[in-house]
Order: sequence, then structure tokens, then C-alpha cells
Amino acid sequence: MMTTQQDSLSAAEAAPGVDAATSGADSAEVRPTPSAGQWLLSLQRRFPLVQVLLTVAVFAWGAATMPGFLEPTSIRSVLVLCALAGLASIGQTLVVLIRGIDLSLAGFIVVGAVTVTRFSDVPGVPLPVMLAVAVACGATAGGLVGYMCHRFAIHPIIVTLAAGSIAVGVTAVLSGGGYGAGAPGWATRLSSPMSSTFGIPVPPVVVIWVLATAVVSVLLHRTLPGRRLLATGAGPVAADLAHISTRKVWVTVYAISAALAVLAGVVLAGFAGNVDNRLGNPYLFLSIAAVVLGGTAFGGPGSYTRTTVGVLLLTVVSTVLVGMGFQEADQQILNGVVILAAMAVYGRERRLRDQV
Amino acid sequence: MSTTNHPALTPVPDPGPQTTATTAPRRSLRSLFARHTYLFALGLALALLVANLVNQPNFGATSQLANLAPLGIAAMASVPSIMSGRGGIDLSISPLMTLSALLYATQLHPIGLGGYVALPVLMVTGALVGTLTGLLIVVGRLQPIVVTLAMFFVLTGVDLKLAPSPTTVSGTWMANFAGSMGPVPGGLVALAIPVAVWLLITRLTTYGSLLRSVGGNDVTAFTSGVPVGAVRVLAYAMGGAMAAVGGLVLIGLASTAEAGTSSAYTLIAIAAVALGGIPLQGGGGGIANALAGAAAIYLLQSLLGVLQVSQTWLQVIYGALLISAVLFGAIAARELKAGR
Repeated sequence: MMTTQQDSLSAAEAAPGVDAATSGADSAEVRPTPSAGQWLLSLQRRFPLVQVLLTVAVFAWGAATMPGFLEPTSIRSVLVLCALAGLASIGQTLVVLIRGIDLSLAGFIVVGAVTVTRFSDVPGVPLPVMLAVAVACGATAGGLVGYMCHRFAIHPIIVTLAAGSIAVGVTAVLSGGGYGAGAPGWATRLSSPMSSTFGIPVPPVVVIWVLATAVVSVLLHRTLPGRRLLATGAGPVAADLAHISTRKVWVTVYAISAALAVLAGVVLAGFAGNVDNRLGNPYLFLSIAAVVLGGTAFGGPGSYTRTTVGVLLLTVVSTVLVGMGFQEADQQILNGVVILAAMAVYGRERRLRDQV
Repeated sequence: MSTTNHPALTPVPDPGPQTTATTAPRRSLRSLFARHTYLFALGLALALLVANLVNQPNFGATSQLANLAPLGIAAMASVPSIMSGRGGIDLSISPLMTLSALLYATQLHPIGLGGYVALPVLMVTGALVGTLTGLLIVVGRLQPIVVTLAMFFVLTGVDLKLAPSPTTVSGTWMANFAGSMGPVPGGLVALAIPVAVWLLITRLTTYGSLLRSVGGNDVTAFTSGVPVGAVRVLAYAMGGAMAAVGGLVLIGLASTAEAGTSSAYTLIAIAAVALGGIPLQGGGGGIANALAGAAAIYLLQSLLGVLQVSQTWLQVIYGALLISAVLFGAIAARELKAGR
């Protein structure tokens, strides 16, 4: 796998590198001509180039070696897996952008899932109301987490860890320890690879994910609250001095993250069928890996589109590995190696002696 | 990651007349808690111990210590990496513990290295894995949390490869950890090994103060001539060596080694360390914090088990306790800063 990636990488590096050297030569008079490597690095800083190339390379390799990889059904199921992981990591992206981390994701996913499987047919309370209550509870709890982290300057790892634990516990107490029969039909149809959306032959969850990507990206980079969020991550002190209430940002972002996790839980319940209190755990580490792999740094710069690329890369890699008959063990190892390799290419920090 | 970035949050110190007779003792108590961050967890652990002893007439110290040992060791093994700063927290401790157990069960025990000889061998192996993590962080200049997350994946995978199904090892020397070694409870011996490693390295050399300076501010430490990279690598190596001991205790307790325990101690070890009051931004705390935090969590679980509180409530109580502990620590620390 590594050789394939490197081949495609070096081929891609060679072609635009030549262009950069020639076009840079006539424009630069005082400044030294940026080398091809520098040009690529600056491109990488603005756009997740390596990740996209890796994804395409792995995908092409899978298509070349595995018959049936390009069939509509298999592509649809890959897209569903991507969409689930992508929806679960929206909140994580926002939280990482303000220099936080959200370990309560797994807990709130369980809240959403149990709401849909266990409380979908409570007499007298229609399901939309029930869901709204669950989302509101999640948002309140998330807001409290953000408040505590910011007000008392506590590391969010601990507070979110505890909040997730409380969320799972309260859900289990309320549902009497049972996790219900299964998701209702509409939730299953959301993420069934065979279903279609208004005639488009794509499962609804994928459409939701694409819309969510667009909405989150616009909100994050083109609106005032989004810019406030980015400013808070880039420099909390500077943001405070610029009359941005960073506490409000923290409270809002954690509330949104929790609410989105509850909604992601609803979709996941439909996908998984049966629900237990470990439903969210894989998505917790997956969301952190996707954010990191996409190239969003703690405190920014970064964006949700980068996370999208990270999700695509992780899902395509694991699908190809499964298809090639790799066991779960090899997949885990390769997940780790892919993260390390990608970070070594673009995620390195400055030398200590340059920080003095 | 985030806590270091809120200097603006610290309330403006109010240099009013604070030495009045009524506030002085309260302030000194608070600053005591702020200076000795493990005191809250220690007090909690003692209270829980008393509650346990009251509710559980046959509270066998030997078996309780043995059951505490894996969590205690996982928490202690997380300490050096957290202290080394830059948001470093070794998520790969738990799979490394399982790796050590599996190496013992599948490699060392079959070739006759079943006794105490395995202990140093595995500790060196653990230290080597830790060194690899440290080198990736220092030489690769990657974010510690990313590297340890990647190592978490890699080691979990290696664990699964070594033993896809649980391996039983019975009647080994490691079973002593669950029982007693002469008059001494085996769990105490197991806990003493990481403590000894820590004390030997930090107290007999200048390493302890070097680690604190690197964790506090690595740039300042670098300009003062501290070999920052070497200090960090050694911190992760120490964590790895400690984790290896934890794996052997797991073998002693369960007589089986299985890959399923790979992620069992990851989050709870962080919880124990946080409850113990170690600042996650690095540079402070020590191994006593981790031990006190782990003891408090273990005794709480044990007490709730005895009182037959259902597992569902356990998580709520456990989360609430964690939040109140960090709130307490944060308020105490703020008081200390304000009082300066």
C-alpha cells in the first residue's frame, strides 16, 4: 500500500513542481524564488492535498484490484459509512477549532439512539417532541460543559469524559436498563444503502451529510458567529480583547456539538439496528482521527471540509483493507500508521529552537 | 490544550485586606489543598475506605490491593507523559499493558521464561515501545495526543494479532500478584514497582526537576539548557516500563490474557489522574496524585458494588464525582493564584 501511495505522490509532486519553479522565476525580484517544496507546502496549508491524493490513490487501487468495488451498491455502502462518520464528527471539528476536545460524543450518541429505539412509542408524546426534548437536554448538558471548561479553566478532556459518562448513565436509568426493540422503519430507511432520496438513487443520510457539509462550511467561514468561533480558537486572549465573548462561544459550541451528537445517534440507531451503551465508542476515536487526519489543528486553522476529506480517507482505507481480506488487527495497525504518516507529511510543529 | 490559553480568565487579584482573623484559616486550608493537589483525592479515598470497611465486614486487604493494582499502575504510567507537557497524555498505556500480558502468555511463558525473569524483560520491552512513542513526538515534532492516539490503534492491532482469542496461563509466578508474597500482599508489591522506578529516577537524579521545567514551559527550559527532547523521550519510556508491570498483574488476576482488555483502562486512567488533581497542561503533580485518584475510583466502584447500586447509577455518580473533583481543584488553584 505504501509504495502505491508514494508513487502517486511523487508523480503528483513532480508535475506541478516544475510549473511553480518556472512561474515563480519571473515574478520574484527581491524575494528568493520559492522552491517547489515550499510551494507545495503552502498549497498543503490551504488545501488538504495529500489527503485527497491518498484517498484517490487508495480508491483507485481498490478499484483496480477488487472486482465489484465500483458497483453502485458497494459505492453506496461506502458513502453511507462515510456519512455516518462524517455526521458524528461535525461537533468534534467545531470543538477542536476552539482548542477543545469532546469525549462526551459517545455518550450523547447513545442518548439519541435510545430516544429513538426505546421512547419512540410513548403514549401521548409524539416522537418529534421526544426528539426535541432529547436534543434540548443534550444541548443544555453540552452548554454546561462548555461553561465549566471556560469559567474554571478546566481541561475539557475531563469534563467531557464525565459528561459522557453521566449522559449514558442517565439514559440507562430513564430507560430502565433496556435498550428497546429496534429502530423504527423511517430511521432504518435513512441509512439503508438500498433506499433513495426523492428519486435520487442515494440513501438520505448521504444527502443529509452533503447538505450539512455545505451548511457548516458556510456558517463557519462566511458568517459572524463562525468568524467569532475561529477567532476564539486562533487566539482566545485576542478574541476577548476584540469584544468577542469567548465564554459564549465555548458554551454555544459545546451545546451544538452535543445536540448534533444526539441527532447522529438517531441516524446511527437506524443503521446499527440494535443499540447498547457502547454504540458511540467507535465513532469517538474515529471522529478525533478524522479531524486530525483532515489537518485541522487544535485552535485552527481548519475547516469541516478538511474533516470530510479525513472521513473519506479513513473509510476508503478501511473498506479496501476489508476487501483485501485484512483482519481487524491489521486494520487497526494501518489506521495508526496512516495517521502517523499523514501527520508526518504536513502536521509537524516548529522546532523548539525556532520558538524562542 | 485549552486551559493554558485562558490567562484572561484568572480573576484580577484583589489586594484587599485579607489577613483578617476570619478568613485566614480558611485561606490557608484552601492553599493547602491547592499546593498538595492529591489531598482531595486522598481524603475522598480515605472516606470511601471507611465506608467500605463499615459495609463490608470481610474487606480483604490482599485481594482489594490486587484488584486496585491494574488501575493504579495504569494511572501512574500516565503521569510522566502528562507531566512532560504540550498536552501530552499517553492514550497507548492501556493497550501496552495488554501487549505486555499477551507477550508473557504467548511468547515468554511457552519458552520457559515464566517466572520473575519475565518482569524485567517486559519492562524493558515496554520502555522500548514508550521510547518509540517519545521519539515520534520529539524527532517527528508531532502533537503528542495524535501520536499516542496512533500508537493506541497500532498497539490494539498488535494485541489482536498476537492473540485473536483469549490465552489461558495458569499456575504462573504472576499469580503471586493476586495473592501474597510472603507476608506482603502481592498487589502492594505490584504497585511498589512503578513507584520505585519513579522515585529512583526522579529523586536520585535531577530528572524530576527537569521534567517539571519541561512540562511547565518547554521553551524556557530549552533556553536554560535542559535537553528537552531527551527528557520527553525518557518520560514516555518510563510510562511504558510502568505499563508493562500492569499487564503482568492482569495475568495474575485473571490467569488469562486477551486482546479485549486493550482499551479497558484508557479513559478510566485519565479519570483517575484527573481526580488525583494532576494539571493536564503538564509541569505539576506527581505519582501520589495518580495513586490517590485510582484508589478513590476503585473504592467507589467497590462500595457501590457492595451497596448493590445498579451499574447504571454507577456511571452517573462516577461522572458527577469527576466533575466535582476537577471543579474543586480548579477553584482551589484559583484561590492560590489570587492569594499570591
